[in-house]
Amino acid sequence: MSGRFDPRDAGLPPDLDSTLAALDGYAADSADLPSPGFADRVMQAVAEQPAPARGLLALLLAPFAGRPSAPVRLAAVLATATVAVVLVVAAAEVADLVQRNTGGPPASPSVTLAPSPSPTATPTPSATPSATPSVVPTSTPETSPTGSAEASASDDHHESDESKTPEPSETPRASDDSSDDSSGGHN
Amino acid sequence: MDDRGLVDTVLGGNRDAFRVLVEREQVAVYRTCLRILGRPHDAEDVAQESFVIAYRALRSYRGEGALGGWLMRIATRQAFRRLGQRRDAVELDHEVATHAPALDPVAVTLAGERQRAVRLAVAALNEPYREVVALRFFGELSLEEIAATTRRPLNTVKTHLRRGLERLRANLDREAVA
Repeated sequence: MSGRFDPRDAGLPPDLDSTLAALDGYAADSADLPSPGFADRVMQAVAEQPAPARGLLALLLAPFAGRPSAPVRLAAVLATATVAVVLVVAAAEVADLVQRNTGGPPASPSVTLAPSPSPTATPTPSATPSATPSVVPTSTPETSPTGSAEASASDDHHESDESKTPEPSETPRASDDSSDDSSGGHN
Repeated sequence: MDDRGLVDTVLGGNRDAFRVLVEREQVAVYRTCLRILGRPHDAEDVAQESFVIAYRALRSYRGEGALGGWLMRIATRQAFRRLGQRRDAVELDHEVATHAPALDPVAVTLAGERQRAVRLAVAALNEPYREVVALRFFGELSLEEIAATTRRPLNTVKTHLRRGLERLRANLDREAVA
């Protein structure tokens, strides 16, 4: 606390002297003291307050108190990132160990682990059947009533796969014709 | 013990160390509150409240200025807040003049009127001028201490003080004419 004020310190113009005098006079007239026991009453009120303990962050940052430099801050960030990566890897390892240990006797997991590649293989064949079933079911119902070998063979030679869809309309005739042909067409 | 050490001791769990701050600053804090409020009872009440607030907020003290200045800033804010709350109440401004030596009732009355005019003129200032004027003339902080406490450049504090005093002069002139 500095006491009296020198207006020249603040570069104040002289026309403010009367205002400064009024303020100084008021401060001088009101220079009372607090009543006896004031500090005790304050401490009594303070005792009823919870302790102003440091926060967790303040405790963690205590070694870096007082505006840490840029390298220190960078090191803190890198250390935090490293710890985070280590924690993630450790959590994955623990999860893997838990999964292995909760699977049952050691022989059965070796058997159950073997089929695990097979589900990955099965989806790849599933793509090729999706193309072939569209051909196979259409041909089998039509070939079953008639002589299948002749109809399918003749279509394969004349036209491509597109010619198989009109087949239902032709197969009844073909079945009649083929029976005729088979009886006397080739003759 | 320096301010930082004192704060660390209190934050470390030594509540009694806060008494050092109370005993060191109680007069300055009380006087500041009295100069703003004009009533000893209110001044003690707000001063005690300011110490309690400072205790609770002690970990927010960054050590950029003196602990006394930080506490004084809390006290001025609390005092102006209390003053705003009691604006509706009737002003009874005899208290500040209690230790005036004059026994002449006219002189006492005139002194009380003058003090009341100064106090109300300061209270009527806008921020940040009011805070700077109050910290300087009621809290008796130096301009450097105000700059450190308010985290403003020294030249900014000087400018605020000059403008605050110019407005205060206008307020006092208006009061005198009225």
